[in-house]
Amino acid sequence: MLPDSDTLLQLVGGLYEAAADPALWGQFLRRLSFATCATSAALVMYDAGQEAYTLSSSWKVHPEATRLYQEHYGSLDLWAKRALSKPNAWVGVSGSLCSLSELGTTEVYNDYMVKFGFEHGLFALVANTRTRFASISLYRDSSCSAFDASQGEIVRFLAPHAQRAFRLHLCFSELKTRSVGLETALDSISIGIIVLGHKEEIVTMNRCAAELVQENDGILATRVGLRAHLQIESDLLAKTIRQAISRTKSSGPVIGGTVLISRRAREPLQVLVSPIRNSTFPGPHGVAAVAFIIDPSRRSPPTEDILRTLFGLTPAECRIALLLGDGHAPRKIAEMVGVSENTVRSQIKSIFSKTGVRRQSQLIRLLLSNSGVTIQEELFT
Amino acid sequence: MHAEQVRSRILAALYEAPLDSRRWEEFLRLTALAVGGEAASLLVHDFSNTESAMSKEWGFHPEVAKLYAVHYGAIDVWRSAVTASHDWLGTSQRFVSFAALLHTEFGNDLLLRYDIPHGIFAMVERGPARVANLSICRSARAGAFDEKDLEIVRFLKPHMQRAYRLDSEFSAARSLSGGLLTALNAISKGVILIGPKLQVIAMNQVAERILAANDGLKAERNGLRTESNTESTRLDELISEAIATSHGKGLDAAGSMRISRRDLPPLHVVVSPVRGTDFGPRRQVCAVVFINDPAQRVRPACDTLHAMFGLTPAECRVALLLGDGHAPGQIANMVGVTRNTVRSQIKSVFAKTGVKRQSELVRMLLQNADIAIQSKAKPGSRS
Repeated sequence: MLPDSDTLLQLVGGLYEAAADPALWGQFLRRLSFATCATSAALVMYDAGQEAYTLSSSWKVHPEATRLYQEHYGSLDLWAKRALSKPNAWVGVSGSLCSLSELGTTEVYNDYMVKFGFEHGLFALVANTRTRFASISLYRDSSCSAFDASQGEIVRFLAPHAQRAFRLHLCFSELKTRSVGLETALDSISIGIIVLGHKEEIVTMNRCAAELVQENDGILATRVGLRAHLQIESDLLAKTIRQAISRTKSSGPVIGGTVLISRRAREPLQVLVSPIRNSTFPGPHGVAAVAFIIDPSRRSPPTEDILRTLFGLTPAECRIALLLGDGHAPRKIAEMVGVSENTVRSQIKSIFSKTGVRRQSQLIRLLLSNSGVTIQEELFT
Repeated sequence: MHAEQVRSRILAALYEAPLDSRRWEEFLRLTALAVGGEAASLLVHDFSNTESAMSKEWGFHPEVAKLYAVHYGAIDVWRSAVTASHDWLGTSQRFVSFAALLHTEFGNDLLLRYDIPHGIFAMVERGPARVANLSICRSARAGAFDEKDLEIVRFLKPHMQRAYRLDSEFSAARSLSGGLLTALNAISKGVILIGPKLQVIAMNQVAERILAANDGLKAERNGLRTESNTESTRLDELISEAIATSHGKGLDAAGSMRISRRDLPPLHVVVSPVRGTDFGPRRQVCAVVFINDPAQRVRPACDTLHAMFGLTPAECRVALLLGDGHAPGQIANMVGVTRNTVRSQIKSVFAKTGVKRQSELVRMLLQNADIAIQSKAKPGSRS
């Protein structure tokens, strides 16, 4: 018999809440365990590509049990292995997968399941494709009897919702990780990038833009959007952004606007604003424009490491190449480094031949084109 | 059909809607039919710009949605009555009597004209800047809705609120990811996102162009490949190291290498790990490959130089040729003017852009060329 409809609807609600916030799977498992008198519960996943078994969320499963499952016992889990051959949406009890007497002869049962209270199981497969298997698994320890039909009925009622919620969850987490990947790529670029919403509000910015805003010189990030210190520039910037946003829906070439933003002591920032055409995602949550900010005073030469691997420059040559890249003349470089001008000239000759350029301006071009990708070492340590 | 079955079909459509927005229409149809309604919509009222519109609808005359958005949304007497209430669930006569409704422009010119004078309303979202509600309508002939009709709507209300919130969160996530890709597409370097099994997950347009040339670097089902086995092995190593670093196992920051091509100079490749996120069952993007094509001529658009510094078309041409590394004498020959003309144009370019040396000009031009929004994807841009 099904419990009262309030309890069931709470469970359904909990499933869909977990779709957008994976931290809530644990809460759902707790509620479901109460409704089915389970002593513990988990979301068991198998990734065929990585051949990895995991308990990705759980309730009352010992942390040690979770660790051991991932490291060793997951691949021996007879229940999961047999459930793999069941169709998607299958709901059933452990007894239908293998008898307790058969299970009793296995290593996984004697060394693992007994110890952590996995005596009886009730499963709902929420995904079973070539690449991914996921099951909402309810467990009882040996002090309990096996799950019976009434608990099966609850799980069967929830199963279509659980599958849908799991699909939502996967889709959402893939979108999120994709965005994180894209953001990481943008963080490695030495141009400030600010993504703006339909109401001119700042949705997100990359590392370089965050640094420029932090300097509080010229450009400002406010609650209502991007502004400048000088009123006249601020108005022009706001107008340019509004224009770009209004072009989001129009057709024709993607034309952005440009604004120069003065700073106290340094060269002005160059700001380009471009509309985002994304007709597939209309609505109030959409992003509408990107502002690109170039700081002409920002020197971001490629690392010596990159010059060495890409062109085989020696450390001395790297140093001279970078000084040439800053626009210094050979004589000046000789003074700075403390060697003769002839030495510098012969090193320049070697740099030119290794990099395949013929003029200093070409070398600057080469160095700059490898410098937009600034690798933020501190990120990865 | 059994009431339980109807409900579960409605719930299925409702919770599929965040994944497939066409299911909203099905949800509205099923819900309207379940209460004997003839049309239903999801109305969104935006207070920041006082716009009201049917964001999803089923069963209305095609004119109604249009008229509502351009005119009647602003004078919707139902809206003002309903939004004033805290408990947002009821039939239309609870908020405005039928007699009073007929005295309004909204009632007379829209509801009566299109024969939708009876309604049921339920709050779906109530935010500081935005309110969304379900609205089910039917004709005068069908008569007013009564309390009994509200039962299923009352049951659906929390689910609608949850599904709508999920839908909003999903749209925001999709839109953000689309916007970030747009920004990445404007960058003049090739960018490729790599997954845990070395597979290509996404790339920007420059990377697509480089791979489409099928010279040196190729994308295969199981990852990036090069013409030579040694280079493929090295590339795999770099990417695997980056993935290991992303998983917190390796120490390497980033690696770089060259990838040879048949006729063109080699591509410069930098492979960088990705900061991890614990969201989701497994990491999707584990490494980023940046590609620089030295043969690609990167130049800013004349439009940009004009808008930013007020360069004339002639000055733009000279600036770009200087940026390409040509000497003033060469430029005079190429353009077909005297050296003196070129020199005075260069002087003017330097003054307008605020640079003092050719090297600074090259730097400035290249920085602007990094963003290719106005002159993007021109065929034959390789020199």
